Amino acid sequence: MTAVTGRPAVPAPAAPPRPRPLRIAARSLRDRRRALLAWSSGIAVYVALIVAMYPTIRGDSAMTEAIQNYPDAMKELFGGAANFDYTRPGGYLNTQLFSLMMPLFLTAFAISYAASTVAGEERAGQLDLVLATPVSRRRLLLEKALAVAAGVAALTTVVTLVILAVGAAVDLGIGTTNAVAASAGSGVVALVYGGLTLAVGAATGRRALAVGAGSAAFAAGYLLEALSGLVEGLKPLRPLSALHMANGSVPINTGFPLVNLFVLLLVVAAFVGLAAVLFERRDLGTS
Amino acid sequence: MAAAIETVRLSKSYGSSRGVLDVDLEVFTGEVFGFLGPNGAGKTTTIRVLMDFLRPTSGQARVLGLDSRAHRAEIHRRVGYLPGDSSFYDQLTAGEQLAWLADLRGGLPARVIGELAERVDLDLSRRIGSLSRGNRQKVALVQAFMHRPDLLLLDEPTSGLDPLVQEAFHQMVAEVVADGRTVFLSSHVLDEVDHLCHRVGIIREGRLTAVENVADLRSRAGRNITVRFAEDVDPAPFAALAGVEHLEVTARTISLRTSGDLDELMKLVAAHHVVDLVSAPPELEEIFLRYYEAAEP
Repeated sequence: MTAVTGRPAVPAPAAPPRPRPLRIAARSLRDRRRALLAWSSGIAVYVALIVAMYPTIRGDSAMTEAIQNYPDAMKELFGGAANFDYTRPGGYLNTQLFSLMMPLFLTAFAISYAASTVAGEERAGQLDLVLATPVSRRRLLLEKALAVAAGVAALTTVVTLVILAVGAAVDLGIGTTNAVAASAGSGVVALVYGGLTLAVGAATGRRALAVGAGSAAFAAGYLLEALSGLVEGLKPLRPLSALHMANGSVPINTGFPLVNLFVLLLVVAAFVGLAAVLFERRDLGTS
Repeated sequence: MAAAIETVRLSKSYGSSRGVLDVDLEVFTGEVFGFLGPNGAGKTTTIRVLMDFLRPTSGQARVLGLDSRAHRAEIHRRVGYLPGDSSFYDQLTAGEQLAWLADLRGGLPARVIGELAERVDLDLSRRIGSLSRGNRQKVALVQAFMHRPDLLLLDEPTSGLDPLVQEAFHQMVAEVVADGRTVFLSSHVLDEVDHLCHRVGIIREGRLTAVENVADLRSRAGRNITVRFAEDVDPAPFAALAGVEHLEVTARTISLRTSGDLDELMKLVAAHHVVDLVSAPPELEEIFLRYYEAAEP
């Protein structure tokens, strides 16, 4: 009979149950929702204050003049002397937010998240039960990376929205595209150093080492960008600084540096890919 | 019948002295196998190699007939694992943690988790961070059993459990074996091994030194016997009995270990006025010690 109908006598075995998608990323973000809320609030207040103060600073000619007369070395530490212009909103925001503070905040968030979510959880023994399921290490790592990226994206969105909202209230005069471009630059910088942190943590299982590597790389990138304005010989090295790549063109005035951001995202992808490969190859440990 | 676990000259060395060396282990499908040894002997290392958390330095392991490295996902689908030191996401409730782990296995009916939780008396609504060690161990037990695995790899499964829950655990193990499925567990508790396991492997300093049928091990281990008399007693006839070792005399109390004929001993004892008599199986450590003494050159 089965031959006549062509139907198998025995039903094909059900496909083996597959892990449900994105459960690890979602879990990770939910577990960090309080931290995310705290970071968002802190950054929102900081950005709101900076933006809200601009009309006062612009209106105080004695103050802008004093600031304009800061030594060049000082100006280089905040986005470069050439861009140091408090009489224009873009110059002001670049100095106050995008030359250092926003990349620093977002990177600090990304580094602490990336280090704790793999190396930290591994040391605590929390990954054992997760990896005892059919979920592969690569899958776990990619979902964790996705969670970090989503967290950074959320904070980046907060920065953008606060600039636009408070900016509109104080008649700041910054275009939406430029606000998005500058904020996105800070976010991509955070992804680069967060990606490096994830890779070091995945390769070694050592949380402190991962945090150290990410932080040191950020600091080196910042110093390179700041000092290259003073030391001519450092200029060719500037592409090594993610900060320079993302913000060197002052996107708050000029819009998206598309090629540079694309290159940085490739670097992020390379870090995550490296993290997955190295995580797959080594022994898992607990303390 | 195919072996549920088979290792061939499995070695794992790392760091200083920890690790295992040339372990040839075979666990049959449908049995309960106890893995015994002092802390640091290599029990956890072996189990973590079987789970592919650690990669062998040399040799290989097959779990459910599959290579531990090449078929990790398939093995994990069919294995229930209980880590020696379970650690969860403390901010979740026990129920949330278990449902999440079930999701990672493609989902399970909530009823299954509820029934298991009831059997081990686990309150699913409590946050894991607020649970005692024993209650955390219950969470670990439920996640190991919930997907009806073909093989359970349990690292010290009863540590921290109260006797009632241990009883429930023994029942769960019995059901697994009745289904023809397999349990591999490490334990320090001789009574538990005696009740649960068909065979034991003894591991010492990374080497599998003996694999024994539990009944044989037990009978060879003998008894510890302590007798308190109402009068002074000459210990010499006791010491002269075959199989008697470690004879000690304090005041009017004689304690000894014997693997010999109990009947002869009892007849000697009965010749005197007995105040108290205790006969107990030796602690597992003691059996170990004897193995180790025997192993010394």
